[in-house]
Amino acid sequence: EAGDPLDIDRACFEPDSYVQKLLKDCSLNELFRHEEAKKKEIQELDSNMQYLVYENHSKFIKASETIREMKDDFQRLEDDMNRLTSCMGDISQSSASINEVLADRKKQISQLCGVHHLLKKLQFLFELPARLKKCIEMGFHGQAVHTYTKAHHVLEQFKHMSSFLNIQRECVSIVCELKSILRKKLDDEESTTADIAETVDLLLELKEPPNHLCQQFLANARQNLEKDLDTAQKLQQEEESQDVMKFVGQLCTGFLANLSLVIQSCYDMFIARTDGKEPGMAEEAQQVLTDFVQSVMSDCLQAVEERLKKETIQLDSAMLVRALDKITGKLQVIDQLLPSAGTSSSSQDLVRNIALLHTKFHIQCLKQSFTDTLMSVRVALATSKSTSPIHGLSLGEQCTLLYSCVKNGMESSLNNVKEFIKPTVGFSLMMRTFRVEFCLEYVRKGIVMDLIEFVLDTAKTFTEPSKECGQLSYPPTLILTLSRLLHNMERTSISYLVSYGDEKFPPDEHGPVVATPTAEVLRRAGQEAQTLLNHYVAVQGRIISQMIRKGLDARDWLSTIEPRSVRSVMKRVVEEVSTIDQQVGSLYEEGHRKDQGSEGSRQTYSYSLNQGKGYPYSSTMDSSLLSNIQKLFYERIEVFGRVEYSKLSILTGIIKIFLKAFIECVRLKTFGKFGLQQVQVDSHYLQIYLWRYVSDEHLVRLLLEQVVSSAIERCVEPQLMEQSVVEAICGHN
Amino acid sequence: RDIFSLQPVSTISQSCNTRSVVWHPSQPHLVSLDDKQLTLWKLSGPGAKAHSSLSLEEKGGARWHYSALSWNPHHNCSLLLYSLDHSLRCWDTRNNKTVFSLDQPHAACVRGMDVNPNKPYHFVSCGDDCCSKFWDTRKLDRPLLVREDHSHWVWSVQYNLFHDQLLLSASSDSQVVLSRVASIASEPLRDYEDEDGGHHTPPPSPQSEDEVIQVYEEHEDSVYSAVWSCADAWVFASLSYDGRLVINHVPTEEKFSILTS
Repeated sequence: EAGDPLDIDRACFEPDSYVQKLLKDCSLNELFRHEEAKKKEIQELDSNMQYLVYENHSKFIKASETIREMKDDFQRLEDDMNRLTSCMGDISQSSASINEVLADRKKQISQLCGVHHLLKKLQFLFELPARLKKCIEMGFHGQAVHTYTKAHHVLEQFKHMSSFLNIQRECVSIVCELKSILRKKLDDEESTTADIAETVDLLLELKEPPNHLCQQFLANARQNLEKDLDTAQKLQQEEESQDVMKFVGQLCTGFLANLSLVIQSCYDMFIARTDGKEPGMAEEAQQVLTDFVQSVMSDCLQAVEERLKKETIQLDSAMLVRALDKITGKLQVIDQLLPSAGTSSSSQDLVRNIALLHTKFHIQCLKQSFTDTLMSVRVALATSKSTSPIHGLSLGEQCTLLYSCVKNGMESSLNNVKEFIKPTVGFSLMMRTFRVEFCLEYVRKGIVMDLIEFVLDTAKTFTEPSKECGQLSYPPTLILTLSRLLHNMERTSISYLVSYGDEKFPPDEHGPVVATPTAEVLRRAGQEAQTLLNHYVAVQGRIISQMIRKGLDARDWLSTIEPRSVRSVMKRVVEEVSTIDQQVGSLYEEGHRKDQGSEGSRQTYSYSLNQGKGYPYSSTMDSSLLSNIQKLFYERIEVFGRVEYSKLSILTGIIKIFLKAFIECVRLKTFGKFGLQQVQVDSHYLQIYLWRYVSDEHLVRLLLEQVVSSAIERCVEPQLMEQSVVEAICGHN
Repeated sequence: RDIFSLQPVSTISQSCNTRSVVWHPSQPHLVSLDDKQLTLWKLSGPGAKAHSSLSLEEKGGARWHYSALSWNPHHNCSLLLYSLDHSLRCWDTRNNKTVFSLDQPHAACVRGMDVNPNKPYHFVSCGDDCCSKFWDTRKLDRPLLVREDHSHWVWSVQYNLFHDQLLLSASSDSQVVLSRVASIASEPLRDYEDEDGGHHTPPPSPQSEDEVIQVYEEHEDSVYSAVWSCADAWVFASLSYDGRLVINHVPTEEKFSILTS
């Protein structure tokens, strides 16, 4: 590339043009300075150059010296190597000659050695039977077996020689004896596990089929284990206290400990041993062992489950949980010894079953106590009808009694059952899903939700109206109390109970098992509360309607006398209404009234005002037109409608029912003049006393007006009494 | 003769108050219920002969106050349903015995009954519990169906004379309710046969549900009676306490769906 001719560091530098440039550009002072700088640079460069040259030179000299030295060394090495080769040649020569000389002798000696060995072996063989016998007599079974196995092969090989054959036969018979002794030892109950292990080893060495041995060993073991189980069970039956912990402890130290020993030794003897040599045998042995363990464990677990079942019907969970924990701990150990036997899954099943039974027992108790409390409340309410409410508990108190039965019962149950998920409990940690399952399925659904639903179901049975239409076997106040209870439950109690349960037993929001939703239960509680309340109103209404109907049927209205007083039926009706008012008042709050202004209860009937004194109407046309016009302005009254949760609303419902019944019954009768007047007096009496119980007194007035106007239309000679006289008669009473 | 004047056909003399009377469906007989007994009269000329009677006097002398009668047109018109206050009974006019008796099917008082014109063993009753209940006379332990369409006492209930899935009921809540009870009607869902001969039911059409077809609110006071016309199957009349008579007909969609199904 074309360099800059003015660049000093480049090859294409042109000094002339550089100087020219400098002369052009720089001032005199600058030029001087420039010259000095250049001089300095040149000096520096010179010195550097010198230095480098010198360095190179000295290095070259060093290198040449080193090479000379190396040359000398190599020379020496070569000399040594030559000498070495010649020596080696000499040595090999001499060793070859020595071998030649001694070759002969060597052969002879080795022959003799061989013969010696053979003779020794033969001697061994000849002595074998005697030795075996001696060993057996002295009880050194191990030694006998070892000796025999050593000789076995050779005997087999040389069977065809008669002497060997004899020996072999003798040995075989002795060994058979030995085998039987060993087997007897195996069966002997007195033998310790170490003895058994040794014996099994020996028998295996003697080529006994391992699966037979294994089975025999396991059969003996089974007998022992069954004995252990029996003693544990018998001890339980005999003992007075039947402490479950003792049973469990016995079982752990006896049966389970022995079982783990058995598994361990079996494994060592049969499975670990034959591994590698005959893999099929190992599998078979494993299978046999697994089967054995499974069958034995199933017996054991059955016994344990039975015993624990007895414990599940106690309310206190602590002992149960401790016993269960201990058992599962031990079972875990066994499972680790032999994972294929599936002990862990059976122990998990055991835990689940026991937990389920226990929680079921709790819920059973809770349901029972609720039913009992309900029965006692029912009896109390039935008997207190005759006595004044001061002596017994008021309805509000009965309601709280029922609720506290549920609440306290559930709280104590949950506190008890909490033992199952204490962090110190072993199985709760081991079975990860158990904790979640327990909290959600067993406790939340099984106890909390189940109890709530049971309460709702029980309440629902009191709403079935069809069967006992005439006489109820339970007091109507019971229905009222239950409706209040359910209303409270919908509003606060259910959420309190569920949250209490959730606090103690936290549900896993993200797990596979979903918590049962409370929305459905809340909705149901609200529904049932409303149904109960409506039912109560209907029942009470019906009772009073019956009273009115009977009162109307009892009299001959055509020929009755001039009314002097209010009929006793009406007085009884008013008394009944005030009793109901008191009862409802103890449970529900007042509610609100419709504002009537200043008219109050003294307003007279509109028709009499419109139509003047004397005859209420001159022709039927006018009155029906007028009443129709009146009716246009009033909404249709729904009699058996929905009732609110307030005292006024409830009483309004009841009063509507029996007033409407009054109207309908009046329409079925025929009245004489005085009959009509009696009805007028009765209606006025009701008007005076009933207005304070209803939320809209206009309603009462309207209904009573309809009573009287219906009576007028059914009257043979309609003539109303003077209002002042009516008021006087009512005022008397 | 002048068709607008009433001429007495026969006269029957009675000893005590007659409360209800009902004609025989086909012959010139009638049944009367009075304070003491039920009597079947056969009209002959200007007089009438008492054919059979059933005493209604209770033991203990308890008196009853409300009654209703309904003739069962099946089985050669030999059965009569009658109600006394809260009990509902059936009288066999051939042998003068009470066939069955229902105690308190509707709380305090049974107000009306009607027998299904197409199905011999079904009838409906209504009363003070604001319900209409449908019964099968062969199995009276519980009603087949209970309908609660009113909010006060139901005073009359009647099946349509030809299509018994239509039911008319009148109540003292001033409403007349026309409802469909297809589930126990004589013409339930039809089974269509496949070519293979198997049966399959068609998907449930709207006509197969039991529901209120229409509520008639033309009255402003209690309606005591609602009856179907004998001439036209789709017309009915209702009468309320304030003297208002209303004649209505079944809504056209319902009529066409019944005729075309």
